[in-house]
Amino acid sequence: MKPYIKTATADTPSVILDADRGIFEISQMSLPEDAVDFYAPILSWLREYAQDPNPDTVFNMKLEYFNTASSKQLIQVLLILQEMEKRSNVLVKWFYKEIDEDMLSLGEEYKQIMKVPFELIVVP
Amino acid sequence: MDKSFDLIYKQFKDVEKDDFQYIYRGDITPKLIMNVLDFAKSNLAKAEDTKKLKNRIYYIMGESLQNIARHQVANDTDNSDNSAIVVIHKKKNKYYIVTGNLMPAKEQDILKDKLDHINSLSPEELNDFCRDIRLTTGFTEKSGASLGLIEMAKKSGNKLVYSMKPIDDQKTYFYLSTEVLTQNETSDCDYEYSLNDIIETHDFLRGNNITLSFKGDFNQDNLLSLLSILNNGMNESPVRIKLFSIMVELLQNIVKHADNLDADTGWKAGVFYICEQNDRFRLIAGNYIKRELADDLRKRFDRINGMNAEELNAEYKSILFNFNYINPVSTGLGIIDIRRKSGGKVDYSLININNTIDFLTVKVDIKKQV
Repeated sequence: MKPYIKTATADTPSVILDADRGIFEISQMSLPEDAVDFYAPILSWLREYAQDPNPDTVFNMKLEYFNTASSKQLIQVLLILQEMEKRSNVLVKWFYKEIDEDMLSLGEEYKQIMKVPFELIVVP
Repeated sequence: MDKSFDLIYKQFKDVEKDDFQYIYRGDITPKLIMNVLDFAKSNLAKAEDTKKLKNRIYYIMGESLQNIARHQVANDTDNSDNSAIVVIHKKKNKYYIVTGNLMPAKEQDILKDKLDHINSLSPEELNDFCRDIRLTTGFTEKSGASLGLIEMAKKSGNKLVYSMKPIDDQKTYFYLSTEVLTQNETSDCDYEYSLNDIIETHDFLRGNNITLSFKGDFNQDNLLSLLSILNNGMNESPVRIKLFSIMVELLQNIVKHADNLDADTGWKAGVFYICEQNDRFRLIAGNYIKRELADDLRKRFDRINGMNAEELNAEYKSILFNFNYINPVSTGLGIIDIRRKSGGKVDYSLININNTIDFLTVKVDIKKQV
């Protein structure tokens, strides 16, 4: 499957979706003007990947910030991963900065809401 | 109703399409100078303005900011305002750059003479004067300051308007205003610019502890510039993280939902302030909205303000998973997110403007100790 790679901008995150290398990662800032538009190709890539996933899928959520419009799209990413769990060992790694209590509490909340293995990882 | 909401509307209401006013109040540092120039760049990028005009504006801004950095005096007493002010004001195709700073009162007469002399010269005489200073004094710190003013006068093509407001025996507040000559200047322009309006606005900002003010057309580009001014002006801390995320929600709300009074609805008129008090920051956002949406919006604010933490979390979850959520008045998760992150109620006001338009103001307090 062809990887989906996006370089970060001031308001959109870096995205690496690469099945061959086993790298699944969204990082940096997510506050696009149109979140639905930005996440549409990501969701469609993941839906296709979920048909025939790798045995293991570790998804790194390394966002430093996301706005509420992005959160609705991220929850859809998590729902796809949750559904995929029947076919792949899925692990969501949620990274948050030590001083960022809002990102920690969002991680705790999503961990509780989603039925998918979910790890909270603190970074300095 | 809280009368400060009316004052915010009063500050805002003269904004017209393509106008903007950006004001920073605080210490002028090299980093801040870069940020303000970046901000100017992002707001000029979309404008019709020519490259030549942009260069003039950068140049004058750069000179004025350096001028402040060179002359600002530190204030030893806490009860008077020692912060500098930088204003970029665009109205009816004219640009004005205004700076203000405290200076030693004993230097004010010398400066006054210098400015009056520069203003009395024709463009040719200015060139000669500039050359004379370079030849006779070389590049000393003092001559640098004079040359800066002369260059500003040359680049602007206009007189340097100034005002000096005595603070006490020791200090004077010095305002310097430059109009940047634009090429497509129309003679029928009915706008009468006055430095006094800016000085009045400065009093309003000072009275409300406002450190950053922007009014005009909101778009994703100037939103990002405002955010980077916040990020560059403060060290990373839990409170900066909160300010950043609440600011995004407030500003994107304007970018997405703001209306205006024009027939041309292709722009988003809004106003935004950051205020800093001893124990808290306050973010204020204001914009026009359609009157028909006001009732629903009021209900939504009141409902969310009335919720406790548990109810807020439940509401957040239910909207997060509702992918068909379409509501023309609400940002969906925005107000809930602001309430959850700020920990307090979201203060708002709706002022009726006419049959079809209301003016919405939202105020959010964020405690410094989170």
